[in-house]
Amino acid sequence: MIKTSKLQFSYSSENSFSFPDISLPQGEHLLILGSSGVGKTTLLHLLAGLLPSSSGSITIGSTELQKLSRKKLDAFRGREMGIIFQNDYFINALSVSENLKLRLYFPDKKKDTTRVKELAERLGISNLLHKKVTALSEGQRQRLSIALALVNKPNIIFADEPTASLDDENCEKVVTLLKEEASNSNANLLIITHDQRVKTMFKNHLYL
Amino acid sequence: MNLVKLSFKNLISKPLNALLSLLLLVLSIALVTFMLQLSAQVKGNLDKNIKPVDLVVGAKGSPLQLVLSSVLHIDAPTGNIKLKDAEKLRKSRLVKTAIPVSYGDNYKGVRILGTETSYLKLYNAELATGELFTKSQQVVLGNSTAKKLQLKLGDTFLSSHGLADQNLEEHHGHPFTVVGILKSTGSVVDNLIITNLESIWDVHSHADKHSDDEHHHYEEDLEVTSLLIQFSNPMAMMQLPRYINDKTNMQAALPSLEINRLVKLLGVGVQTIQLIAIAILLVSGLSIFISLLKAIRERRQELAVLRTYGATSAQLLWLVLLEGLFLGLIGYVLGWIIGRIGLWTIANYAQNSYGYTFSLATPTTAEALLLLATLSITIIASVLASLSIFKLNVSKILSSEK
Repeated sequence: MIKTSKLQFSYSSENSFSFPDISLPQGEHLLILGSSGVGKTTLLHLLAGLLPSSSGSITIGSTELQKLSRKKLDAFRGREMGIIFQNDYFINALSVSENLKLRLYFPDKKKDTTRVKELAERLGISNLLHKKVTALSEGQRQRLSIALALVNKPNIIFADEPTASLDDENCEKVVTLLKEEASNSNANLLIITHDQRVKTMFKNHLYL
Repeated sequence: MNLVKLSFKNLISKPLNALLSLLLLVLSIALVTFMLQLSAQVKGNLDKNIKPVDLVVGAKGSPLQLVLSSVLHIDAPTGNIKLKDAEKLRKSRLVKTAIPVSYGDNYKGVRILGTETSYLKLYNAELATGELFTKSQQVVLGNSTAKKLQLKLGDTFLSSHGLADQNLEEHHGHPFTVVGILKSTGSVVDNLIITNLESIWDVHSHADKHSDDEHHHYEEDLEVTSLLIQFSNPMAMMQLPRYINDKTNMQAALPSLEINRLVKLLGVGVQTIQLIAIAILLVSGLSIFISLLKAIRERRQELAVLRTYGATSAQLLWLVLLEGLFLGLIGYVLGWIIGRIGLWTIANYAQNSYGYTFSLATPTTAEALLLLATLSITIIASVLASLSIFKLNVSKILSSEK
């Protein structure tokens, strides 16, 4: 469950954003659309607690983000959220499976090793688990970043332009996969995009 | 997967980055541990060898030379003294024991020392096999000598004149016979060939006297190289050297004093090397700082991503700190091992040349302190390098293009 009210953020006095209120019940999906420069990524970072808002409030489940200490916020993010960034970022010194296990280390879910195998199976990357991340192809990297966002069974999945670099066929595959995974664990799915192809695949839209 | 593993993998994923820091660290640790051990063990060996001798009396010259030649057997003697003068001293009430020693010859570079059997008691040397010399031309061998020269009981050999191997002049007609081999004592005795005083006189009288009276010695002419004295009471230390130096044509040297002087002189060199090593250690700390700073810059995005995984800033600091500690620990261990290899090399050489025994000692307190210093430097370097972690702007780093 995500609820925001009167959310505002300013980088500087000329560059400030006001966001429409969001109210998304548990398990619902939301597509956030807008052309570049309207603050889509900023909104995602606010919701994920990576940026502190200038004013307004964000409530996730029963937790109000602004009230958490920095340390608690880090822990909350690690436990409750899965984020697919516009670019993919991995720990280059580690293999695919080590990256996934590391993702589970911080929220203290490290015993959940079957989850890694099971997820890798579903995303078709189980044959890559022992590879170094630097040896992956573009498509394999995309799937690994999805796996990293899902492996901790988050209650909210954020995705920032997940389809930007994909062709039509793969675009549909990725969105379907994300929707399936979110539905499986009754998680909220928030996708930020300017990709018009994705529009028809969601019923909830928010225009910035 | 945990922070320890991750920091280690980070460290080895780009080994070249840390190589310079590691090399500097290894160099400084090796130098410090090597010098610490070397000076301590050399001092220990010297002390052990001079301890039984309170005073050396020999011909006038450098007192240090007298001690080095007559007690440590590593320098040429200052000359000879008359046996009758030595005998006079022997009767003094300030003297507990006085043992004459005499040089002259070597066999394959090993010194042949003419003395009395009481010399062996100074160093608590006991027979491993055979018996002590009772007649002229009988010798007992120090333990290392027997091994080095591969001599056994009953073997005979001819000595050469002088104290070094290069002299080719052999004393024909005066073969020495091995009658005993000593147990290892860890002292200078191990590297000597020991015989009685008459042997030395006999070998040399042969050169300038007729063979028919070669076993007859004129008491007046007999000489020894020096006299090793143990005092009967502490007062002797004040009186005896002054008496000998002022009233006779011999000189008295206190081994402990001379060796302390020598060690002090060497100590300046040791300290200089130690200071250089400490400077290198500090530079290696700086190098660790720079290499970690660089690693943090290169891995900013990885660190930011870890924050989105739920890592706290403190955990990230710990991650960098662990990497630094790994570096420090690996450097210390490698340096320590190299220091010991160096010591072992020197030990082999010193064993053969000077009869000094070195132990590849277990870690000492000083080395534990050095480890602490190394780790402290590493920790300071790592913490300073990772201060930027607390200012990491996760949002900005993750929204900028790669």
